[in-house]
Amino acid sequence: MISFKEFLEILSKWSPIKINIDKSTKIESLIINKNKLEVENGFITLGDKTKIKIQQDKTGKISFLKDGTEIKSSVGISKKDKIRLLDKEKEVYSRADVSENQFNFLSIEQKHEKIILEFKSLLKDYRRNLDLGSLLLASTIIELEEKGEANKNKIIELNKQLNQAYENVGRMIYNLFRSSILTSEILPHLRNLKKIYGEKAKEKFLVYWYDIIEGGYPTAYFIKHDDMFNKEVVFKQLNWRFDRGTEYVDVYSRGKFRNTITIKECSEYCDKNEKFSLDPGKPYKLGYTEAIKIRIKRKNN
Amino acid sequence: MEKTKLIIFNKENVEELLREFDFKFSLEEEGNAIIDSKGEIVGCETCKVNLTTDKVGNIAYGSRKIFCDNPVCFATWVVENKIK
Repeated sequence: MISFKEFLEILSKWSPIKINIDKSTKIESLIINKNKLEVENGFITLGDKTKIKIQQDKTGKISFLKDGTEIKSSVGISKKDKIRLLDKEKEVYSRADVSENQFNFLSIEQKHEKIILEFKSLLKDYRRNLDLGSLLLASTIIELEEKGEANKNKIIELNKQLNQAYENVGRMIYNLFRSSILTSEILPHLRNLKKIYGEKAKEKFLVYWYDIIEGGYPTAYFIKHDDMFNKEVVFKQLNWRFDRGTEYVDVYSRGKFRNTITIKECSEYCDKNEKFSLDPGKPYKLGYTEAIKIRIKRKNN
Repeated sequence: MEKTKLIIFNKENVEELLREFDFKFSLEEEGNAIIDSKGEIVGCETCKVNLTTDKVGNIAYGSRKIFCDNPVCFATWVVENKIK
């Protein structure tokens, strides 16, 4: 049984037929480029459990529907119709081998959509427009993580692309979203700025956002893979935050092995600095991995 | 989110598809650069990187915008155009 990704590849080489689907039509199977797909109640269920509805487009040809997004093949469409679909009907052409993620983007959960919408007006800036895409990509990764380990390869690939495209910025946006700092701290700050400054809030927010994204969040540090082999980097990051006068820093880490090293490094930091104490917190599940949040705080004199 | 209709094309047909939308190609540029009707090299609408045929991920409406195949670039377009 083929996966959704394979289905898209096959679809991109298939010239769809005209059919008449009405209430009396019962389609039992569909053969697309020699691949026989069983149909049940108008739906195809693929090998990766993706459900796709069979329907007709405006021209009477077969098209498909996945999570509210219509999909059809570009094969067999005349040049005139291709132009009409793009310019007049506002349809979007998508390359088969990269399409799969795009369905996830187009069907993110409403709660994530609402968060992105709040940031949209303030980040819609030529300097920061990729941050908006990173927010959507981060939401998609989080949703895939919550659906379980079966999506592990997709998640690894998306993370890789987020990092490659936007280096530390993409990673930082994901971390802020994943740790809930984005919704519990940054979003309330943004709303407050809007309330106080109205239209001038954008400039204020962009300065604040730039500081966080490029410099680091003042009360949080997200452990990276390389930090496991270089505790000096972690110590430097903690010093930078405490030197700015912050009362505590939450150190976030994921993965059992990395968490063990992180606890060790943070303990060593507190052992060397008498002014600080450590609260290791309890491990918790984040998607399908184990995570920890260690709080390092100043001791009360 | 505003509904979207996607037309799926194969990597092998990128050039043919772009020709149908009146784009041309410069074989002098490395990797077959895409040229628009004004004779200028086309860049990804989001990240502005000069595009070659093998890097085209999406073609969207509104002055026939082309995007590279990095998911962040199309995701940015989605936020700008579909989340309202």
